[in-house]
Amino acid sequence: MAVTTMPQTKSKSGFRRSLLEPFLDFVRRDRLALIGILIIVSFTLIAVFAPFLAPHDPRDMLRREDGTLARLDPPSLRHPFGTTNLGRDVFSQVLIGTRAALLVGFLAAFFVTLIGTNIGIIAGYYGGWVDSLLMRLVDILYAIPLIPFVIIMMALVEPSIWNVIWGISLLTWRTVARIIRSQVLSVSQRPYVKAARMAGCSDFRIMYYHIAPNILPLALLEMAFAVGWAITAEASVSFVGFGDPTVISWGQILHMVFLTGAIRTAWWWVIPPGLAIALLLIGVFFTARSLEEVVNPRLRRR
Amino acid sequence: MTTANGRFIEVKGLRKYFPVHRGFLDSLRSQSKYVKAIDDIDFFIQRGEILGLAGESGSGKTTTGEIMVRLQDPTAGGIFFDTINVADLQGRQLKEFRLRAQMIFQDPYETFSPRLTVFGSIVESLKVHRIGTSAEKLDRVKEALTRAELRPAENFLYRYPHELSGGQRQRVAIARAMVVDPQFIVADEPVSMLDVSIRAGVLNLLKRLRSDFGLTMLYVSHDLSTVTYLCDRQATMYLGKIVEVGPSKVMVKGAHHPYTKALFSAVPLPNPDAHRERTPIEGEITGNIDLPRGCRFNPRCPYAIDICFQEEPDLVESEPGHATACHVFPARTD
Amino acid sequence: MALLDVHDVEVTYRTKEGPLKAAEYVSFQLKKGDSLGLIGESGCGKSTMAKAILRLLPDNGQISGGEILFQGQDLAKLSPKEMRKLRWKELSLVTQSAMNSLNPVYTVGAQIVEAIRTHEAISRRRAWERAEDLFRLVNIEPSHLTNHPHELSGGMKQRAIIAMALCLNPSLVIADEPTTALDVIVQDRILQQIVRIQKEISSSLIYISHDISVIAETCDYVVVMYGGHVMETAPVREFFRHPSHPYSLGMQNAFPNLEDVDSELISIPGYPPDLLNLPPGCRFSPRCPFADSVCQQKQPDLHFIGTQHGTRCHFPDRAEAFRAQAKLPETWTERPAQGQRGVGA
Repeated sequence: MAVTTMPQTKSKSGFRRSLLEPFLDFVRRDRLALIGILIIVSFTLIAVFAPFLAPHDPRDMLRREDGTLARLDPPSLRHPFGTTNLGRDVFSQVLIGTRAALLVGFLAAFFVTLIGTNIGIIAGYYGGWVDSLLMRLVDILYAIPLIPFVIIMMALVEPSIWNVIWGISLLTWRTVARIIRSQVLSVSQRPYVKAARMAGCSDFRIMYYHIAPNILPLALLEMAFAVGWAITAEASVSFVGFGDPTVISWGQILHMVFLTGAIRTAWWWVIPPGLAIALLLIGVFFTARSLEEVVNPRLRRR
Repeated sequence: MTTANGRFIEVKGLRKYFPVHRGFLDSLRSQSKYVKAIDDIDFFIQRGEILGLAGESGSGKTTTGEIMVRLQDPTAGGIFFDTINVADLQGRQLKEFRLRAQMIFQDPYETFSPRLTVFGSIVESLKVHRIGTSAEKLDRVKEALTRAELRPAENFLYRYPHELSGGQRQRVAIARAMVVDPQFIVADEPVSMLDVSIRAGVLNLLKRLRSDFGLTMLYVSHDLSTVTYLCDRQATMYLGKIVEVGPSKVMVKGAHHPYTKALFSAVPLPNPDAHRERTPIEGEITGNIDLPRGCRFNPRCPYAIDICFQEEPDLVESEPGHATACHVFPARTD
Repeated sequence: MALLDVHDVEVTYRTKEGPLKAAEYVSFQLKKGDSLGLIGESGCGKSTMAKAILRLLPDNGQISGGEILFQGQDLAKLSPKEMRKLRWKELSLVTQSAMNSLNPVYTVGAQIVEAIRTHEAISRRRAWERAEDLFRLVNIEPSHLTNHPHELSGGMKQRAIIAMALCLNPSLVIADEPTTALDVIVQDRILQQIVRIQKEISSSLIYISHDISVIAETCDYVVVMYGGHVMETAPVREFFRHPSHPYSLGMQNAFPNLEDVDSELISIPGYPPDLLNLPPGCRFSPRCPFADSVCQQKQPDLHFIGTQHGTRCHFPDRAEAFRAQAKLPETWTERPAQGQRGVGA
């Protein structure tokens, strides 16, 4: 058996560094992580203050100075991103659309992680037929494509933003469950889990007091990626016209451009929402990637 | 209280078989195969005794230790603590048993949840069993740390495992086991991952705990030197069976079974002029799935005779306290 | 001329908390055909030295001082290309987990042949014949050359690795804890083979271990390392008859010995040093029962007290007294206080 070589280091504060500290440490060095976080923070602020930042109500059909409907006006000082074919201010629409993106992104990611982590812990800890059953369920879910599923849900139930969130959550947890289960399988073999059993802990206590805190970093990492998946899913569903018609989202804006055929001429209507989606996703994935290096130290460059 | 034979702990006919997973078609064609990790063993431990369980990988010694504390369940057999068969315990009784029997694990770096402080890890059993008020729990934890020679206890209470050295961690592990005042402890290779200069301290601690608190222990290890140092008696296991058991120090030069002799003669000595007389055995350890007929050591034994290929030898006492499972040794004069 | 002359070598790692000197003032020599045991516990620098000699230090490590003269060349100054030519051919390495580094997809024979043919322009057939000879040398049936690694047992894999390490007849083999992960009977066999092979092909050997018994039976010379420093160096019999450094004495006490089952094991109080927070004086002084004020302030030099027998201690001439006192448990139970503990007669 190896005698592990470990240079002795004493933690300065004497307490375990919280999950946040190594991450903050990392962000300071990793330029991309910093950019990622800045992007997310900016979008969050925009989402929160959107009604105050938007110069117009996004649904108002606005008129030009000469009284005509401001149809398909290219960008100007009054309309930084121009107007739609019904005279609506694209800039305001994009700002308000941030809310849908972040709402769906964070909420769906939260539910996905909640469901997936719990299923993963239960399957990984119990093993045997419980594990087989749950993993077969996951296999079945993997066979169902995400966007069509959400679309069908929207068609069968009612097309609301909440159903988009549920639709995404009910399927996407499959990925998190597999990853968490895999980690739990490994953790369950560790001596400290055996020691917890020796202490007389119930299965529930072992799963949630001993195992769960140690897979929390991984769960949070998966949640970060899930934000990206959820935003993409919502934009896709809205783009094909199956989103919530009462909620303004970037996908929906793109849907309208496409529908009216203005996609080839009104570039100011197309590029901002598309860019917004791309930029937010870049922010999410940069952040998630650097979080992954914190959670899995082997990925780190020396 | 003692078992029927006047001993504290008695194990009878213990078996642990693991089914080998095969494909669906294979399982239709022929009988299931098993890995016979433990295949019908008997032994006893007196109160206050340290019994060593030695063997190489695949011998079944770690599994035996874990079954003794019901970390795993036996396939068959009885494990008697005084008169109670702990192999049958379930539910609340099993939970109560956990106050009597504890375990110390091999890897000091994985033996604690990284998220719990030393206090958190040790107090866990007190919390689960609802022992004492908060103040009493704190006192017991401090007491346990002091007994494990981590002084002053206050310095260690709120540290996290990664702040401690390997040796300190094993002492905390000992404190964790001791905090419920157990009667029996299984120590599974507790020092094999520690630096040599630290091992002696932990081994001596275990010795002292035995004499101060009348603990009974099962010490599992592949390192015969530490087994001989610490244990009163030692048993050697091979492929799931006990092949020999006897007083520790007698076994060093006075072992009978060829495998035990081979093991002892294979241990290097800190003496450049040492000429060890090696017991010649061939080959490597075979798996425990397709065991040979007769004595399972016969593929490697240079002394095997006809009967060794037909009948498994029983564990028979040759001198008081010294039993061997071999058809050939010790040479019977009758 | 010595085959290997390690002279005043210093190895530094760049870490987040600052530079870490994993080895300092390390010197030893090895003649052709001799074997040297490098012994120490975790953090002592022995594996670092192995990697330094083979120039296999990780990215954040470097040889910051000294020379490693191998057949006259300073290995510390060679380019990666030049080192690659030497590795495997003149210098080879067997590590503890080496058996896990065998590629599971290819047969063992194919891997040995590839290793040979990468460095020597010989035909596949001749390389295969040499592989067969090597397997015979390590006591494996040559028919096993066509097996894949997972078909071989742990002991056989490790012996296959040893065969690979010898395939180009290197002048120096470095074995870093090669048997630690193996069962005792297998370990014994491999050790016997290492001793025999070494004599047969007269290559030199550096055997790194934490187990003093293994070194006693395999090596001609012993080098004891602690905290990155060489504490004692001696021919093996001299070392076991007259160990002179307090750390060596402490180690002897801490090792259970089957030849002497009744003696009490005594552990060395304290813990191995924190390489980022080293004491100013002798690295062993915080744990040494004989430490005096000078030990805590000034680092001792390596003093020679006999033929090829050196000890890094301020009181080399008191070795005899140390030996006597070290046998008593009381000597080791108190931590030495500042300047209070001297050496009794």
